[in-house]
Amino acid sequence: MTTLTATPLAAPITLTRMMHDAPATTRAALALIFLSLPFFGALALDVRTIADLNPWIKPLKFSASLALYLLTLSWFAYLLPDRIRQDRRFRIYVMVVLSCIALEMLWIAGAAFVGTTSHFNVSTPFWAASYTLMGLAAVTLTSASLVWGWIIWRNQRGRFSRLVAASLVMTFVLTLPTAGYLSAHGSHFVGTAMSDAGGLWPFGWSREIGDLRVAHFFATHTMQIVPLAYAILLWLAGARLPKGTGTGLTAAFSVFTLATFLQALDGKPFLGAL
Amino acid sequence: MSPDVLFSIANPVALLGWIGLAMWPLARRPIMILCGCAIPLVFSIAYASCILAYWASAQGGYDSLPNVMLLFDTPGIALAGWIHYLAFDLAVGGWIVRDAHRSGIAHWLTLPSLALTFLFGPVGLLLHVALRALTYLRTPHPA
Repeated sequence: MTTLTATPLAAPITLTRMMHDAPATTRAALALIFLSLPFFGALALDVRTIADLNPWIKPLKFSASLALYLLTLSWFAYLLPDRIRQDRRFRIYVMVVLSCIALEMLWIAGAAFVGTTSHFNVSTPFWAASYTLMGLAAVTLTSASLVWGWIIWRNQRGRFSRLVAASLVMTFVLTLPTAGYLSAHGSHFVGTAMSDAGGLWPFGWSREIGDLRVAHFFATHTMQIVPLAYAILLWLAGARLPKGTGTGLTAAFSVFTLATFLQALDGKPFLGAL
Repeated sequence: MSPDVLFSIANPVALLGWIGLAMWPLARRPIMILCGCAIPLVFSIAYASCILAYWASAQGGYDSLPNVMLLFDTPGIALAGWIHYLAFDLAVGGWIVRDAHRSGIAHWLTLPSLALTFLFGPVGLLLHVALRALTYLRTPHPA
């Protein structure tokens, strides 16, 4: 165990290991990936547009990112103590998180299916109620990053586990305000409401005005980007990294995320020159 | 991709599946996995894609024959229906091959059933059921 956590490159986690450590989240991730196949097909066939974009782009973005989220949680499950992973309350919590993810996908894909928007759609009592409910579901499913991070921190096994814990907690800490502001703002644009088309590839972020999705993206992917950056630095260095590298990386990335948030609030695009 | 293009891809793929099933004894496991499982699965995903893309804009319904005809007036839905046939007929074909093997019926005897399932779906299934009944009646069973 200590060799494993001493360096993340020593013994990479395999799918088999993830299936053993976190069967529910791993299976759910694979199910989401499988579900993406008809979405891809629909993307190729559907001639409708919603805000100038193919209706199936959004469901695909969400199925991909939620699958990645679950796979990351499954990957890091090796740092959760056995007794917690097997605890009934923990397993019930995981089921609640997965149910929230299922509901989110149903809502987003359902809206695309009938040719309307999911987010910010308050056009009828049904859609307005759905939007509120899905907000609650989103906070609940994101809480898994906090719960994972907290447990790993409390049961830390070396530097990398501390970094993972910090990245997970910062994912939650950064996502809540960026996503919360986004959902209350009524639109992801800061500035004159324009077409969704012609945005920065591959996400479609505005290249002309502020786009609140940028900060939301970086916030939600803190848990992948920071540990990955650390692992790459470790591999490049070929030896132990200086003390404080993990803290530095986490802090720098958090500042970067906040900076993109402020940039969007200022009405400025991310990488607008490109 | 337009419905016509998907249609022109789907038909040769189905044909490949049927030829495979016909030649099943040559390589049993790979052929059954490909033709009895994988191809129907791919068709099922294609069908789901069609429904996701075209259902909401289609008119008609399932409650009366004129309404069904109206539904199939939309090219995308007609394509979905066609892929539905391709998927399920091939799945039934795979089942016929496995069922015949389990019941001790020689593979070449299933070829007419396979051909009819390919062309006229349920008719092929009926022929296979009749063949199974005959085999059952011919084999002595304890009273």
